[in-house]
Amino acid sequence: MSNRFSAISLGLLALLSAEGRPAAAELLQATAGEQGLYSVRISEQLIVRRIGSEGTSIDAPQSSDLYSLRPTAHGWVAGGHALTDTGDADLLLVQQFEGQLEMLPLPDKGAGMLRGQPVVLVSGGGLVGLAWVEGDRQSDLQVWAARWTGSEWGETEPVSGPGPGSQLALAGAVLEDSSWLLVWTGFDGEDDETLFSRKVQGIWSTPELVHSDNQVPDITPALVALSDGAVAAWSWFDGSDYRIKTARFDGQDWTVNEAIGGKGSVYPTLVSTELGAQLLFHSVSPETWTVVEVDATGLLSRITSLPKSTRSRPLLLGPTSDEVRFAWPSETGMIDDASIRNQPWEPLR
Amino acid sequence: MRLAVRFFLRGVLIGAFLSAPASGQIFRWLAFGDSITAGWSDDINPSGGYPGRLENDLGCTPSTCQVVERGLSGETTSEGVTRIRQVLNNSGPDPYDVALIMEGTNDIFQPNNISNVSIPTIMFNLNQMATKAEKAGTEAVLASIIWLHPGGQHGTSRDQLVENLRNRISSSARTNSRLFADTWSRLCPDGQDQHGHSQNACFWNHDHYWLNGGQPDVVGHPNSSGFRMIADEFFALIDSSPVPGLAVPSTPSGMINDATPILTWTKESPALASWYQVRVTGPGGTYFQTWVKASQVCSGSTCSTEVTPSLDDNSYAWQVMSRNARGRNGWSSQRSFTIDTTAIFDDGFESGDTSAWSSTVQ
Repeated sequence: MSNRFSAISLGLLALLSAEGRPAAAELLQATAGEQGLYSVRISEQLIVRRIGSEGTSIDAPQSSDLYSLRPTAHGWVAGGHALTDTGDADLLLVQQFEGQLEMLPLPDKGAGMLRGQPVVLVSGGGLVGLAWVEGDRQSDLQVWAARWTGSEWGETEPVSGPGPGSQLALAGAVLEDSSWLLVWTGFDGEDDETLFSRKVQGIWSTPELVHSDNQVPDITPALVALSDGAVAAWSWFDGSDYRIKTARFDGQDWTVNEAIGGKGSVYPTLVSTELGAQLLFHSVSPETWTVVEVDATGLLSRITSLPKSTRSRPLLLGPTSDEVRFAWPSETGMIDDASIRNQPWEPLR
Repeated sequence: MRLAVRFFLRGVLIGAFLSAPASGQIFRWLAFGDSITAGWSDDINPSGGYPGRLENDLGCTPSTCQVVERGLSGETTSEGVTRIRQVLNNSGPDPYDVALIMEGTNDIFQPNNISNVSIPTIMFNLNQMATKAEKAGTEAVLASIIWLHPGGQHGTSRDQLVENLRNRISSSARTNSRLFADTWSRLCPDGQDQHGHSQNACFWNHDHYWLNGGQPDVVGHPNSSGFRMIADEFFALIDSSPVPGLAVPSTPSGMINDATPILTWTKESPALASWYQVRVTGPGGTYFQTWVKASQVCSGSTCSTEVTPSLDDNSYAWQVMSRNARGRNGWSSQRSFTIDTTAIFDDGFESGDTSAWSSTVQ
């Protein structure tokens, strides 16, 4: 099963329109550093690229998007979605293996007509599983997963089961101990909360709250594995505005930290680095892009903010000892040197 | 003398934070939202969008009224919750009279085929925006968002969300006594398609949507015809009720011994106001001025609100102004009262003013 994508590309103008101006749009970054891995959609092309090298252009099927991207020992693997020949949306799973681009088969569906937000789970240098959300409607999504043997998919496993509302914004990672950890937003009948489930020795734990229950939205979580656990970040409504909450998972429990970020801090992402991770989000007031350094133990140590001149998400070129380097891809997907901005770290109080 | 100085300082202090009398101010609608509010895809009047058309429909002149466009391309409701406060705070000396809030398209339109934010959270955010507007003394009007272009990316699963959101906004507006502008139904009425099948018009009629380089615009930006229809929807809603008449101040009047009196007035007839502004003036200027929502302070034809913080002993006058989404009337006639907290009895007992008494016996 090694189908090279045939190109049809039509509907990839979307985010250009959402932004209201043409630009390199919709950045997805997996890792930072000199060989940092990212994807960018430019006009009709999906491009996966390593910082400082030529990228792989995916002539993607119509209306394709990538949702998750991870490096592997032999290249990378990405999950997204595409329209099928019948016009329905389904998952898209693609990997680059020693320079060759392959479309991988998809796991069996769970119980829904609609599925998306696939999270590729990588361990030991290769794909080991996939998690996604699925339901008949966007309002009744559940979390599902399946194990990849290297050549085929295992049984489709229900992770969350049905809830009082939708379960979405899925993120996940494989931890050092090979357990799988997923976080997502689940509606509890009153408001959205951040939930998690962990698969240990083949058994998924009952979904639980990452944080204590509250009556305000907790939305759009991100997750990254660290050497000894993981860190999650999400947006939490503080009674007036959204701020960023983070929590460290030590293998047993979550420890939730004080909220950070300016007013209107939303859409956090976590990018793996050699030393840990970097948390990136943007704020409405002050209008900034903010990066927080997460060390290997999950502690938030340093922070820096850059005034926001564009809504386009920046690339993080990797930490130096003193500063963070922001960059924006050009319309070719390459890093535009003129766009690079260096911001000094400051201690996080 | 000490008392007089206190009065003066208080008048200056409070007056500095209060708006000038609103009767002379132009009436302003705030158009708050994303690129659709910003008029981004208006192919006839670039960046004109619906606010400019609505302002024209409302017959505004520079001295009478204005529709202020504050749309931001790409904004989601989670961001709008914060930005709307900035916009409201930067309204100038007076609050906007009405906020037309139409946002949520960018929440539903996310990369990938499934939205990252749920409808309950979008609804939560919209209600937060409306509440912030109301706290600023601005009437909040919630609008449904229009369909994402059915011929574009993601097809109907997104449009189910848009319809779901529309229904929730409608319900929430009813519950919270807010006006609801149904732009969704305006652009996409139920009807029959070209084959005679019962079908929502937007399944087959894309006449009001913008084409991006000849292709369907997947975000669902309207074209000039679509903007015309959005303006029509807002205008029909706003113009469905005439400007309310004058409300009638009732109590207090005369001598009272309550430093935080409850101002009571009778609704105008016919009762058309959705909001009232009340103010208390005295020798030092304006001591109390606030906008209150009729549904929260009125019962039957009577409305009331308490003056806080407390007033010092002195003589005051108070008035009320009625407003709805179409406009506001001038200040009502004045009622005057004098606070004497040293008086033992209320209701003019010590001054001999028996006007508030139900009966007197000689």
